[in-house]
Order: sequence, then structure tokens, then C-alpha cells
Amino acid sequence: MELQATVKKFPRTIGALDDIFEFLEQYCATHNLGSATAGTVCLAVEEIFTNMVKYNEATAPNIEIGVSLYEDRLEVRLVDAGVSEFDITHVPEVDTSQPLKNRRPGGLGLHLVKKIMDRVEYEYTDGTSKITMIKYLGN
Amino acid sequence: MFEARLEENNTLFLSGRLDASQTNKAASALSAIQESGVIDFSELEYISSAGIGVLLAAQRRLQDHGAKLKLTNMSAHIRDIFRYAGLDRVFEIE
Repeated sequence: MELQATVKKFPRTIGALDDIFEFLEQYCATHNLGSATAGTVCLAVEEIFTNMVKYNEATAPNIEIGVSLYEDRLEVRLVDAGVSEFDITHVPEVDTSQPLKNRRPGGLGLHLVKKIMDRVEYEYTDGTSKITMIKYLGN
Repeated sequence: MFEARLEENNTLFLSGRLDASQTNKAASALSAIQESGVIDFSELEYISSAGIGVLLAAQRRLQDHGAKLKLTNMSAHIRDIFRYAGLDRVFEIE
């Protein structure tokens, strides 16, 4: 059962990060989710949001971020309209065992998202990408 | 808010949030380190892959000259992020 949901649109710019963090931290504080959960959610959202800003050739000026609290979990969604399909759940894994000289830029952010969140889902419908990240409470 | 200040013994103190909007500031501060140095994380609250990328670039530059960065005083959650990224093999962390 969904207990509380909120949605807000943010401009497609890295400069929106401060407002995004404030939005997420305020939501977590209001619902007593703790600073560790707030930090995890901020990191996951930053990684996905910055990827959307950098790589999506979008037509919409804003990216929508929604947060929903359930009895057992927190769900965070990022919705980007007017974009090409790119399923982040099928991106090859980064080999974190490689020494520095063999490491290539990119992919680390998605790798971290998969590590810190319990589930990541991707949907693409009519030119709109929706990425949902789930964190079970108490984990 | 992110700040970086270089103090004695080639030690760079980071504080606040090192996110994607602060990478230029972080890169500028790290460019002042030309030999082996220490990055003190005791006042750093948050780091994302963008911030980690700046540290990796600095480590790569220094390693080309036989030098390296040592990372100290990380909080438990930032240490976890480095471990998830496999960076405990790339940096000396204490």
C-alpha cells in the first residue's frame, strides 16, 4: 500500500542538483527515513539524473522525479520525455577488479546505483524513459 | 557546498558534498598536488561517481610520475562507495 507520494520537475541541468538533494532530503526527513537512506537516495538519483542530462537528446526541458513510500520500501522514479530508448538495466557490468591503467571512463555511476539500491527497473513507452529504483526499508 | 583547502605536508582537506556540479572546483584543487599527497575526507559528507572520477584522474596523473594519493579519514558510507567501485585496490585508504 502506497503511504505517501510526491512528484516534482527539475530543469535539465547539472545545476539543479542542489534543489534535487533538498527535495529528497526533505522527503526523507519528513518520513523519518534516516540520513543513511537519504544519502543513498541522493546518490542514486544524482547518478541517473546526470546520465539523463549528459546523454539523452531530449525535447522536454524538465526531468520529473517522484518518490513513493510504501510500508516496506521507498521507490524513486525519474521520468524523461522525448528521448531515445536506453535500457540501463542491460548495460554491461564495470570490471571493478581492473587496475587503474586498464579502467575506462563511464559506467561507474550505474554500477554504484545497482550496488546501493535493491532493485532497478526500466520502462520505455512512447518516447518516455522511466527508471524506477527501489530501496527496501531496514536493509 | 563543497570546499577544498590545501594545507601543510601536501594534504588536501575536502569538505561538504562532492557531486557532479563541483567537479571543476575539485579538479582545480587537486591540480595543486604535484607529488605524493594525502586527501583528508574527515569533513566530506558525500561523493558521487563524478567526484570519484576527479580523484581517479588525479591518481592517474600522479602515477605517471611515480607518485600517488593516499585517502584518509573516510566515513563508513563513503568507504563503502569506494569498496563497491573497487577503488580500495586503486588508492591506499587508511
